[in-house]
Amino acid sequence: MYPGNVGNTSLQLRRRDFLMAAAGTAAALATGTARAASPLVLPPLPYAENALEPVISGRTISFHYGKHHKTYVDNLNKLAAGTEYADMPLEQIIAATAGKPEKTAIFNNAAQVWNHTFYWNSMKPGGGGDPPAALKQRIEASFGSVDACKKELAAAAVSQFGSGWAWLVLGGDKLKVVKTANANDPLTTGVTPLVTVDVWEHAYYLDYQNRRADYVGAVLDKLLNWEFALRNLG
Amino acid sequence: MSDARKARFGTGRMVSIMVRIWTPVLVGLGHRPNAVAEPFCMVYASRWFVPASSRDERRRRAIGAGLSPITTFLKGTNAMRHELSALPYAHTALEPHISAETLEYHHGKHHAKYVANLNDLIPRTRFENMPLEEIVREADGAIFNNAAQAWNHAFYWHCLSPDGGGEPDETLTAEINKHFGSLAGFRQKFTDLATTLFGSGWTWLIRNPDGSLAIENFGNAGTPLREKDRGPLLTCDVWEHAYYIDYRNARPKYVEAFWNLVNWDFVAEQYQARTHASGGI
Repeated sequence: MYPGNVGNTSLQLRRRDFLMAAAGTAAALATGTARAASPLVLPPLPYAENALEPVISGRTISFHYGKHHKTYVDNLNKLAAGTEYADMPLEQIIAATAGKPEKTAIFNNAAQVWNHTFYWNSMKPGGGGDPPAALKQRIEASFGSVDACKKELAAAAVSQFGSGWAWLVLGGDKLKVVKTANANDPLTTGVTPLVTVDVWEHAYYLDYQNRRADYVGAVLDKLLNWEFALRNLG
Repeated sequence: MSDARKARFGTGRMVSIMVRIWTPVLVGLGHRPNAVAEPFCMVYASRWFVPASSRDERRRRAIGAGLSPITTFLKGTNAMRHELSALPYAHTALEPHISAETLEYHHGKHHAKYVANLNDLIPRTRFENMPLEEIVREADGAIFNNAAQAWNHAFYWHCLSPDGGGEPDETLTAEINKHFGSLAGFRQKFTDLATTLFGSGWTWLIRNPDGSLAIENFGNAGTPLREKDRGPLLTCDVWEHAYYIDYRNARPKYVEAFWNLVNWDFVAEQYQARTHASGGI
């Protein structure tokens, strides 16, 4: 079940319009099967805008969620209207447009909608700390230790040049760290994303300015939603 | 200054001396009266680096050019040390369009960090004694990223001026009209590209080797300097760090404000220098 959404029927319905099932995508995002020919709706944040303070300010979230994420949703709706993509589940739009230069705009907006939703759920107030035992075992099997995993994830996040994302993913039977530029996500590479850190400058500039490493370290230590990662592990 | 010295030199004379010493430092060599117009990159190759073989000679040249002795070497190596060039104006000079806070981070942290990273990366590589532009043209990966960002930012600072805005001189206006129909058409096309560049990067006005003008987006550290015989004339930095403090997500507002700051004199100098370098073509 999607975190922060339990028992809210209207939100679930709206979310079902937005979040569609697709084979191989993160299980936690799969809450419906198809979308009617109605616009995508910006999914609600799984917590209050100020819930991640002091690591991420309410001010940052209000712009990041209320402006950036919303604009990607609005742009996608404009671009998809009247096209074959209008009725397509989000993951399918991403899969259908990835790597096609003439579809770059629709891919960018669709992938950014998906990435941001995934990012909000990759964090929670009071997160960080030790992963649940089942996940911890898998992490230790792949990285040696939770610290080594976090270190690799932080290094990927800090070294992603320009805008992009750092991800913990399941590829085959191993967990690994990948980074992607701009809107790219690992969905199209056949791996299962577990958690992500947004390293577009808009994710941290109001709170950390140029100090991306501080932002990344604080997210990993204090906000990372390991339970979400475990659910995505399946 | 003591009264005696004031009497000897006169305030006007002292001001004139100070202006003569500091003008090249503050406004860039491209603005010296009677200076031969050179593309920005060449000017900066002689300002930032240490081109001669002997360290003393390199230092003398830098000082002789009216600059602080900026030519130093990385400790324990023979590698040149690239220096962060000064902003050509005060941090507050571009307000209200770009705030002092933005410039303090953008120049003092981001630009400075690219230069520092470059200095960390080049010792014991073939780039360690190479002028910045050559590194930009030849390197890949992290060295390219940091070198190109060091160069792009210096170029960007010079594209802006507290006395900027308005319209270019007649020659450049005629060229712009020829290639884009009108100044308004040019501005619209540049604005459209700058506001739609996805992710981080730079929008450039470029003079092509055949004399034509082009507007193109380059992602991340991308720069036309890397492309043979293409002359960068004007750039707008659309990395979010260039405008997030002042405009948040509203990049179009930043680009609109950018037009109030464009240093058309600098753009025209670049155009002339590139035209001259290509034999008038």
